[in-house]
Amino acid sequence: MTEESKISSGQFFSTLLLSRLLSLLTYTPLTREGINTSDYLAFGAVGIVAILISAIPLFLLYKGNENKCVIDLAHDVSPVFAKILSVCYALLFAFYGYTTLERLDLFAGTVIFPETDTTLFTVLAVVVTCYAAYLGLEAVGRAGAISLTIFCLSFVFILATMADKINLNNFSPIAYSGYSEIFLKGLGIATRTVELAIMAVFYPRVSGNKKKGFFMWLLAFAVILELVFFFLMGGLSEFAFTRLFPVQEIAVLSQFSVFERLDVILTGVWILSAFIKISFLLYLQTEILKRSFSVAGKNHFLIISGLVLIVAHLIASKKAFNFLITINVAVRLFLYITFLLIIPLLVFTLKKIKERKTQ
Amino acid sequence: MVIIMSDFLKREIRKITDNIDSGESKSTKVSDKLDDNIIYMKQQFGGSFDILYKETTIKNNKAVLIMADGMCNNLQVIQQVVGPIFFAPEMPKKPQEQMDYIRDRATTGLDQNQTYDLDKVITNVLSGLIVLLIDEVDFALCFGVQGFPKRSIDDAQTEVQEKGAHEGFIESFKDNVALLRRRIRSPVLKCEVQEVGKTSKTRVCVCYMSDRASPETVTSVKSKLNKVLIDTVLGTGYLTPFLDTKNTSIFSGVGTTERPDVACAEMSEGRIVILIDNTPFAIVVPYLFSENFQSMDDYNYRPFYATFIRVLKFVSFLISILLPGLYVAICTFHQEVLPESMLYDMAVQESMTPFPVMIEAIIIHFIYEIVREAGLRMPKAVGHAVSIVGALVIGDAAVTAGLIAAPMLIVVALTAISSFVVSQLYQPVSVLRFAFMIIGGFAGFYGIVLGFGVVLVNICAINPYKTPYMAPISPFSLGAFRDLIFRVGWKTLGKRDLSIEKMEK
Repeated sequence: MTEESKISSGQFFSTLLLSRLLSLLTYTPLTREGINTSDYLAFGAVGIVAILISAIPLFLLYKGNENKCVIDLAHDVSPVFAKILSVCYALLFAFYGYTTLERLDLFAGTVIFPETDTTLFTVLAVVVTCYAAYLGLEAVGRAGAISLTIFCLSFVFILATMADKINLNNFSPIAYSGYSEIFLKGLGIATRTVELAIMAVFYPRVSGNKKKGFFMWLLAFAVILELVFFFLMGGLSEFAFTRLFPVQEIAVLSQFSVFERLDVILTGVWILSAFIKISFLLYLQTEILKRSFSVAGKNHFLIISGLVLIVAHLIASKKAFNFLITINVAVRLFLYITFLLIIPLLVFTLKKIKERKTQ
Repeated sequence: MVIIMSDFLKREIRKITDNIDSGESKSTKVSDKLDDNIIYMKQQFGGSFDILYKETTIKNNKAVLIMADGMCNNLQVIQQVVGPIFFAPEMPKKPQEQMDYIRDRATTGLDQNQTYDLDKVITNVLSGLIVLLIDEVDFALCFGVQGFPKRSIDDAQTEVQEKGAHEGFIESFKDNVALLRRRIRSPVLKCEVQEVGKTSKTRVCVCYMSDRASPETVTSVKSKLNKVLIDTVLGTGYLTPFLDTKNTSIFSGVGTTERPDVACAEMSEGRIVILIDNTPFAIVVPYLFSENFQSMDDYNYRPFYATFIRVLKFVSFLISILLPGLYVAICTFHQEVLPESMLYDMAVQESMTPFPVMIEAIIIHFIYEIVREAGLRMPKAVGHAVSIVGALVIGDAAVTAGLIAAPMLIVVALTAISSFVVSQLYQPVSVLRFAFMIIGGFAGFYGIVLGFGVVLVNICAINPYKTPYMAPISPFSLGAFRDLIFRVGWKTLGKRDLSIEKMEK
């Protein structure tokens, strides 16, 4: 991943932040969460620290190898290993693309069009995201930065218009039920951070100060995460756990003059962010496959990826299996550990062994 | 099927290209026999009545003066060419010496050239020059005495300005260059002429400021102009597709302006301005999205008001694209978004019309476009009548008859007015508006947002001459951003942050 056009650090981390904020926006409590309201603020902080720690293997890997991604480094060890890794990463991005699409479908089917079959809308989403991915990295990156600005402005507006609904009595004492749940939930936030895997394969194609970009990304995410949790718990308290999309409920509470349905703004932001995220993931997987298998045109892989998404949606959508696979914590944890800890550390170790052998 | 069509088109384009290339490679030398030259010229011009041949003798040497009637200033012809030649006191007797004497000492005009190519002689005659050929001389002298009828410099018709200069470009090429020169009195302003169009041989002038325009961009523009493969060039639209870097987008990285002050401002920011003979519009490359929201008046107003106007323009742009689509989406799918009082009124109005909201919106907007187009093309006196018929008869009568709802008429009116605020973007806006109406009718708010996303990515994909079309919004450039939505004062803006080279590539 070293020869193609580059993306600026600002655009790259803006797109990653948008992607991560979408995951936050689409957060769904599966059961009664089991922790107290104020603990959300605490476990958010734990989650940030966990993300920071999980990035260490990546930075270790890229120390002195800034122009090579994890697949290029694996190629130095063994070309076959690199091909296997590229397929694995492509599948990972395809899975996350599918997950995002399914959340969008769930959202469309429950919030936007509760009485309509949303299949056609989902197919439409896949078609337009394939088109966006076809337009390339620069287009998606730039659009991502603009979408993030729209996201932030909309969110600030919504939070400002529901500020009067905040009740400080909704906050319970921190760690009232102990610390273990706080740590577990914090790790849960980290496992939802697929963006580090994107960094793993995309790092060399980012120009500018990447480390500064990463820390700014993390800081911005931390601030927004804490703000959202504060408004969520302060405004909705435990009622939030009864909702399918609790963050959406913040917008339902907000009111501006005669306009009482500001959730439509958040709906728009959600769809736009999902569009950018799926486009970016589609672009990534096709680029990885194209490079690893030396195929000239990326369009073949793009069309195949789009078709796979549609077929997967048609087969698995609205089934218990689908719900389990896209929400399940164990699946997330497995992917997170494999792609962010095991693979980078494995590549790092094998590379060091090979270097020593050649010396 | 698509591949076959594509191959067929490629073959046809190649045939045309080959023909043009083979035609350009031939050239005919000026003969030292005057009769041969005259025969060749008459063969080429055929029976054109406006080509005048004055066969005469200069000190017993046969000579001919050729000019196009109506293209030359007769007074200049007499004072600068005919008079000095025929009344020269020391005219030599040998033909070659005569020609040298006429060229170097006799004639007074500065604009003259010598050519050995008869085809160039023909081009010069058709460009309004008078040509002198003498027997036994193998070259021609051409004197610039152009004096064809032209429009005087007038107000810019399409870019009206409240404060500042009112001059607009006209069809005369040289006058347009002079309008630029008057504003930038510096040798860094370069004006380089090329010819485009195999038959029309239209002159285009590539203007730029050498100290700030990127040399690669200048070279690229000239190269693209050299590769233009069309027969005639009669306006900016003929060249725009050849200069554009991404023709699949609905937006363009090539802009036009009718104002010399705007052209100078563009050049001072490192852009390239292309003047085309016989066209009162100049092409500007690279042209950025944000420039559609800027006007010269912004820089004559005080910063707070200019900022207000800019915000107004951005909002108008969004209204003109999205409002009808959103109205259709809300009425069809998301009625709950409306405040209660508004909802009842609109529901009552819409329930009384025979068409679904989407069809109603498309019909009324289509009618509006017909009225607009008719008003634009008709003679001015009739244009007013068309407007009255459109506004009163169709609008009022259609609501009274219950064919369309009053809120829809308000939406159409607001959209129409908004689209004229950013007039440079009228073409993409008018098409996108229909697209959003259709998508809003089928997929509601969901479709509108996805459509917005597609348009956004499409705009972001444009890179005219390696400059991002969306700069300085994305990629973000703080220096240039001070002249985007907020227009800061001249004391700060006067620096070179707005230069195109400062935009992140």
